[in-house]
Amino acid sequence: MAKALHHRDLRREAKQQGEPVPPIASLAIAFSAQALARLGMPTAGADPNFDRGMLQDLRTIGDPLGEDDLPSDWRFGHTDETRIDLLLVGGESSEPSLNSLFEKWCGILSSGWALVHWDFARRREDDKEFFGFNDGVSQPGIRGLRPDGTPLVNRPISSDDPRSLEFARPGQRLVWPGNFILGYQREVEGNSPGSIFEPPQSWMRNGSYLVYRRLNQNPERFREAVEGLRAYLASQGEIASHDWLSARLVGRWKDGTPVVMSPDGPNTEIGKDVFRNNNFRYAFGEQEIKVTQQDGSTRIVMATPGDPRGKLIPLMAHIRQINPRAGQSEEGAEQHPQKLMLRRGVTFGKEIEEDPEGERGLIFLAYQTSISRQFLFVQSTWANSANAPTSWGPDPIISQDGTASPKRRIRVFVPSGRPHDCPFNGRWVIPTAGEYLFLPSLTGLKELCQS
Amino acid sequence: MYIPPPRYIDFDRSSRSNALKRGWDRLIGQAIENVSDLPRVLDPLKATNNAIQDSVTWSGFPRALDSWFDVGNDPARMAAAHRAAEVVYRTVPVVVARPDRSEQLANVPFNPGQNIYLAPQRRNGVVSANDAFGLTERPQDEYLEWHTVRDPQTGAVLRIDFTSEPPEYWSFLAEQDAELAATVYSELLDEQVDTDDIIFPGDVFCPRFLVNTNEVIYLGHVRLADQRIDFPARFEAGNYNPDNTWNTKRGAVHLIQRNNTLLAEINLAANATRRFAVRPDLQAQIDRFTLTACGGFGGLNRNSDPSIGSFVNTLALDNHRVMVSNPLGLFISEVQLGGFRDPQGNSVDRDEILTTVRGDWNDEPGRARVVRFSIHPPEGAGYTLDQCTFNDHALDTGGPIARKTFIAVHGIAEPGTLQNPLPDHPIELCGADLVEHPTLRPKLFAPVNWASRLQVGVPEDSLAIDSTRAMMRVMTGGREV
Repeated sequence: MAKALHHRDLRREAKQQGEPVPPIASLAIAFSAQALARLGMPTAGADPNFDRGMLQDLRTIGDPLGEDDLPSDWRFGHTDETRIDLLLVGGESSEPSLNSLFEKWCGILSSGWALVHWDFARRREDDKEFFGFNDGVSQPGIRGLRPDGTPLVNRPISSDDPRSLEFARPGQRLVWPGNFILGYQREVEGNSPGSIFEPPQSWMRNGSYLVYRRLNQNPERFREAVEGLRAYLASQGEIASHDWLSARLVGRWKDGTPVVMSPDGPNTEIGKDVFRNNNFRYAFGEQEIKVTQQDGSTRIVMATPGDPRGKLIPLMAHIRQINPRAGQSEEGAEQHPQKLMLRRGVTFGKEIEEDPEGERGLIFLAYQTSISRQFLFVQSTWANSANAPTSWGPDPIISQDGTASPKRRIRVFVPSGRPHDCPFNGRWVIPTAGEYLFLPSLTGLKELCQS
Repeated sequence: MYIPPPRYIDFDRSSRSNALKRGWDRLIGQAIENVSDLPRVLDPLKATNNAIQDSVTWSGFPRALDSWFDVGNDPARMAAAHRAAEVVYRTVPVVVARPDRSEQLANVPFNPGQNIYLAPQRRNGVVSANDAFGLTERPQDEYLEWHTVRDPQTGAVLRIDFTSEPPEYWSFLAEQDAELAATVYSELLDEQVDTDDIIFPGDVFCPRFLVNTNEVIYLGHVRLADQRIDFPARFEAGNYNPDNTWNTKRGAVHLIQRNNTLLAEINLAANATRRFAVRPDLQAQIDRFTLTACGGFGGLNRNSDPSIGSFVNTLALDNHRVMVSNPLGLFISEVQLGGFRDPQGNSVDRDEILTTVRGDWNDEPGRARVVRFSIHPPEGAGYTLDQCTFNDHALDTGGPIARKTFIAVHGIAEPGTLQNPLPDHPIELCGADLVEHPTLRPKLFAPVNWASRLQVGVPEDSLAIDSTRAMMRVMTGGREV
């Protein structure tokens, strides 16, 4: 891990200084429970959801099921022939080198494994997903130290500020590593660590459960739905622009600017500022914070207003529904950090102009140590629910209700300043494959190979 | 007119329907009147078209038990909390007489063998241990209570009934139309319940003891209604008995935990409209527990009260008068059943295992008002619930489902306007004594004034301040007391 972090730092540094960025080359290999059983690896005591596999949880996750109880929209992963045993996630700086990597691994695995599917995923311009929003702005900060004693993640908040105990960058919640990697202390209520989450088998130490979801996106359908919402509100005498509404549905403007900091439009200065674009907690205002920048200079990060009632970021807005921060929820804010995952989503598919009929969307990859308390909770208890974390409706972007045309009733503070309940029916995120996998550490992988 | 929580599904069956409706309206109207002097309290019946509706939800499993068992991420501890949630315990108010002739009431564990029991007086004047009962509580204090129906022979779990109906409604119904109340009891439990089962046939008597330095002497039973007792029921002939066996040992028709009352909800909502020193405006960095402690308006170690309080307080600070909307009640807004697995480990359609008994999941658009539902195996299934799992917990208790059952208070709030500004909202000093914070470390703190919250590092066990903890010590013996 230390090597990977060092490499990441080098890339960041080079990017900031306008120097050639060192190439990236990475490969992760994750195994389903069935694959591990086939390989004879012991998994007794592993996460029960992982053991059962994602297909068993689809009623909870909300993907529509056909009469055969199989997901009707999945392209692969749901039949014996297309079952996902292994997931390889490769990273390269260019498409040709990625193709070489892919071919090399297909060759290595061809003796015992058949290729089910492969997606060429890439970072789109400005890290925007296909609805046009900058994605992955908010990530938890992992507590812990590198071998040299420096923090695993940058801690720029002045140590005399009590918020430095809770946050890495302003708004970036610090979370105990046992939430993501087996063998470390877990997150519990308060800032003290919980007990060590021991791996169920010794070879699983330093590993993580990887939730893979292939989410097709239909940008046109989403655009039409927002337009329909705009027209509906106009019929009620509430005039709002398309962008104004879609920012309320997500909680951010397309460039990543949180609506709570810039209610009337995007502000690139905020959207691109990693010290500001996450610095909000909904329940109350955030006072100024003194931070140390990478060059050693200090600066004051401006205060942020609170938004407890959802006047700016509605309580069901995507970023609020799946991460209520210090805001209201049926569980209580003290439980929220336990739900956080390390999300590493990346887009797949060509641009609409290049291939209007092609598939496109997001490969959702999330690392965690408890599928039921993290991914499954966030997707089913919060995103899909009309009554949790609040009663303002389900997540307008990713919620599923087990049907091909979900019915939603969402609540938005309209321009006249009143909360208004609106229909927002339809589906623009269509899950087309998925599985729960286990990503072993390098040591675990070696043990697995030897066995 | 104020409407009861299950609307008029019962009242409309009574020959005295109109009288019942008027009576309920008076009862709730009086409760609202009692708190109407607070500047940000709204009389829901006087709300205008300008008023907004909003709701707050919380999980139905007792936070106090999770805290006591320090559940964290440990499934075994969570299972212990589930079991503890179903340990019904009974206490008896006892008159303690001292040699100096002073007398006081004490609550002690129910123990008929030691004459510690309540009993109604029979027509012949006798008070007998054969009629013994105690004040019963389920330790389910999040405005959701449940009863696990077991096969009397095998103990297998046949059904789990969940309710959020307040005791005030059933006291009112039973005392206005006892036959109807018994009929509805019978229907809900699928058992034969008679009026005599739920109405005291005579005044209730409690024990009186002389307590000397070295001995305790039983002096006989005395009329309980003559004693001062803090319990939301009366104890005279003809009164409703909320501790009847059909609402305690053999079923759960309505809430019975002492804090789970409708009047408590109204008082909590009213008091949470006040502007407290620790939260003079919406920018104040304060969590729901600290606010509750400062306001002293609810139980600290609960999901419900701090959530309701924080929700109401936010609206009040944002220039609204606030109250629970009509019908005033605690409602089940959602139950998520995706975690159910049959004995083969397969998921099951929710419609096959859920029966909504009273209320409507879509009572108004976006507002569920369910007050009773049951979970059972699918019709014709050859298994019982204890053979199933729910989110990987054995379904031998209702706890795992209670965690995924959300309770809601639907609020109504009238904004102040330029034409009709709201009266002043004065800042009030914190009213609470030293309390235990559920999450912060150090655990104890004392809100002393609005300018500074004093955090005190008192060792955890140095003060016995939390009655819940004392209660839990009794309960975790794992036996009914």
